[in-house]
Amino acid sequence: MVEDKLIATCYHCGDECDTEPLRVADKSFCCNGCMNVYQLLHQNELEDYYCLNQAPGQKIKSVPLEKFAFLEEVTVIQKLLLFRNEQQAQVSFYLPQMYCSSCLWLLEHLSELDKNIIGSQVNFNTKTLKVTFQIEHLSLRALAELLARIGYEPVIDIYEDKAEKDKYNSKRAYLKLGITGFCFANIMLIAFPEYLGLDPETQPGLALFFKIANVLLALPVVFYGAREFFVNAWYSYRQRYLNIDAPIALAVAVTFGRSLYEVWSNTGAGYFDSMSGIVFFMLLGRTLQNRSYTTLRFNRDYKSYFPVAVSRIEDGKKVLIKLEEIETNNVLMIHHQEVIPTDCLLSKGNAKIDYSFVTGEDKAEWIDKGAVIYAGGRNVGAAIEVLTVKSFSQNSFTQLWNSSVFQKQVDDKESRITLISKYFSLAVLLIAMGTFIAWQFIAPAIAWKAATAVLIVACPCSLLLTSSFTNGYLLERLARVGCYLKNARVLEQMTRIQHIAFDKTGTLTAANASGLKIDKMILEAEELDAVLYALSQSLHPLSRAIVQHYQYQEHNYRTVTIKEIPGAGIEAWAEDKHYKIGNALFARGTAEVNSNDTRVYVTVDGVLKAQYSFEVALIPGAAVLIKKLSAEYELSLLSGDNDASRQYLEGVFGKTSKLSYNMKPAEKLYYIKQVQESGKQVMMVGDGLNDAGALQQSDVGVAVVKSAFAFSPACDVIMEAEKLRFLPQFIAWAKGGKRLITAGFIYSLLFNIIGLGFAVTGNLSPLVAAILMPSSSLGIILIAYLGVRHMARLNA
Amino acid sequence: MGIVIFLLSVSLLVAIFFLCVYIWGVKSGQFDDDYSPAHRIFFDDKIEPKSKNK
Repeated sequence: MVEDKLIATCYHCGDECDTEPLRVADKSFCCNGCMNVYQLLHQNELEDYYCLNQAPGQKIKSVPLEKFAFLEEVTVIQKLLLFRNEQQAQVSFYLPQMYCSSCLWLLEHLSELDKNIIGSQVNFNTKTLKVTFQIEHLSLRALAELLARIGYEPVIDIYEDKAEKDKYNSKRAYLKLGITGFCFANIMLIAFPEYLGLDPETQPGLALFFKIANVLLALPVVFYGAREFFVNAWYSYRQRYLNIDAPIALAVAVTFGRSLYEVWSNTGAGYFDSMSGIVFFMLLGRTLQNRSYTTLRFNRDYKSYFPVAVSRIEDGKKVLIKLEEIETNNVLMIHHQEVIPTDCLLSKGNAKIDYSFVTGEDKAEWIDKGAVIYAGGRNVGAAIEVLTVKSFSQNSFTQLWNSSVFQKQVDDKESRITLISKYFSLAVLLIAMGTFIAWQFIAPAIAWKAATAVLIVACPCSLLLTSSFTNGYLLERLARVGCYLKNARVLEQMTRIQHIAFDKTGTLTAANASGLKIDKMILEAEELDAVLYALSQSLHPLSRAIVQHYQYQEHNYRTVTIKEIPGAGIEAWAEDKHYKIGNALFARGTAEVNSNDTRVYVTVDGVLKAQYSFEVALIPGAAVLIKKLSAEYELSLLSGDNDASRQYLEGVFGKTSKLSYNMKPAEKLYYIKQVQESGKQVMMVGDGLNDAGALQQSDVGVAVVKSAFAFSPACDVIMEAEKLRFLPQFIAWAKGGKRLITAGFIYSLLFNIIGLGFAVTGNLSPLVAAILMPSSSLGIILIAYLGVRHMARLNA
Repeated sequence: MGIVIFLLSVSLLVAIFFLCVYIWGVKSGQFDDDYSPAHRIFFDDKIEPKSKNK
């Protein structure tokens, strides 16, 4: 029996049932939520859910009652529905929780749970669920609540910028790739007889057929496949700088023009095969590199943190309004777990506000009636009524987002590859001109031929190929081990980092574990109660941690006289007993001798009866991580928390790092800015909204999340928390990628030089081009693939 | 040599047919989700209609 209890895991979510498990039939459950889901599914004969995978469910989090109330507002409904007629409506929900075939099965059998649901279909790659339902009988809110009840709480973001999401259209990329590949392969096939010695003189009909077919097949390559190179080249020309697409567009245009001329003047077969091959490989590389994570959001702004709508009280009635409509002197109702949308005064109820969103400090504050509550705080107590003093757009919190860093636009002007391509193109143009001038003196007839051949053979395509293939493979590798980069440019940024700033709570230390250890406990139950009562009156973080540990509920059972001495402890008198709770000097009268942790002593009438110690609970591997990084980088710690852990963390970080505590979000941002102004590239590693400004300001913002699909602030990199310890390796990979690109580039330069030799001497035949081009491209792809495979391995 | 032209035309036509199939496949969204169709096929259909809780 005892053993059974020890290994009992929840039938629904697979978590260990640490307290007495709840039992239904022979199944055990860790909590009520999980059991309810099971019972619901059981009633509706949906138990297959549990047969497909073991414990497939998600631990059920309680969803605040009013959370989906905004789904009753007409404008919101209109925005979310994909389709609606008299009987039915269709909506698409984003459900990041789905991960296995059981999820798929259950979500596609929703119609069995509620007869008003007509059908549902999952798109697993985007983690969306399309539901068709009878909206007359089942409201959108009820549908969302049903999903939340079975563990798939929809993430609804009505502010989301649709244009941003659809920026990269994979369908179009696949089409382009398919059509270009088709043309490339067939041109190659048709050009083949020519290489094997087809004589146009003896077979004029055949030669003509080949030429016409090749020109026709080359048209889609140039005007459809290579279109993006021309478009990008045009943009770069308009902005007066040279990107990599410009010389490529030039090379494609020159090759196509010259080939057309050759075909028309009957002087040769043209270079259609090399050209379409290059375009195809470049498109392939780009597709690989740009394949985005459709389910990840890198560009979230502050609005995602606020409720979609709030209830305003007008003439005693609750009316749902959007955040933008909040004006000064509105009375708002803030429910349990809701975030305060703007600065306001508490007008009704007792408020317990958790500002951890804003400050990163993990504690709730009691607010008295009439006091100010700032935007960004979360109401963790019962529902309250507040009077707004500022409109939504002017509150203290959103001001941060109006600062210029959030509007920054990054372009690829300074990117390394653009820089190289500039010199490369310049060199190629010079060689082409030199060739042209030189041949003018020797044999003017082939001057044009030789000069265009130079442009054809020395196109910087290989440069683009090496970088896009290497980056593409590297991004995929990183994603596979739980580190998701926004785009390939972040890789380049990572190689330049000189300074790394860390957030503390949630990033380096576990979010909620206080690290409390009880070293001694001989207090009577009654005495403990008095101690806890005294501690519960104190705001000191250590007091709160102890109170939290015992899950103490305050009850006024007797009179306890309390006196708090700042920096020392608490003195209390209850029922003729004198309690002293605090540090060693205060409670015991002797100073602490060397210790790594913080200790709290409890004495009753001078006798030591309890002793607590607090260790800073770093996440596993964090100490090693810091040590490794500090050898190579400047480090700093930006914590919104109090500096209780300073002594310990100074030991971890070492003398040279700067530890800052009590940092507000704007101060973190400013700190990063200061480091940058001293000429350093900064990486910021953080997790919460309080780091959002710093993440945005930094050159590489790394958001650490519990799971990749959890909520994260706007950033460049999303990293799973347990993968943070591999950060040095990830940076090393990025640096290795840079070396691989150089290697591939040098390799392709060799081919370019050989080709140039042919071109300058006026001997570049289509056959030579057709041999040089694929061997260079395939070589590059191999170097990128094998190189990344070899280098990017996790060493635990 | 006419046969070469004929054969090449035929092979080109076959290739174009497959290209069209590919384009249709991409446009109709068959490459959008590579997980659910593969798993959906394993799910049993419910044979007995639900009767107990109606």
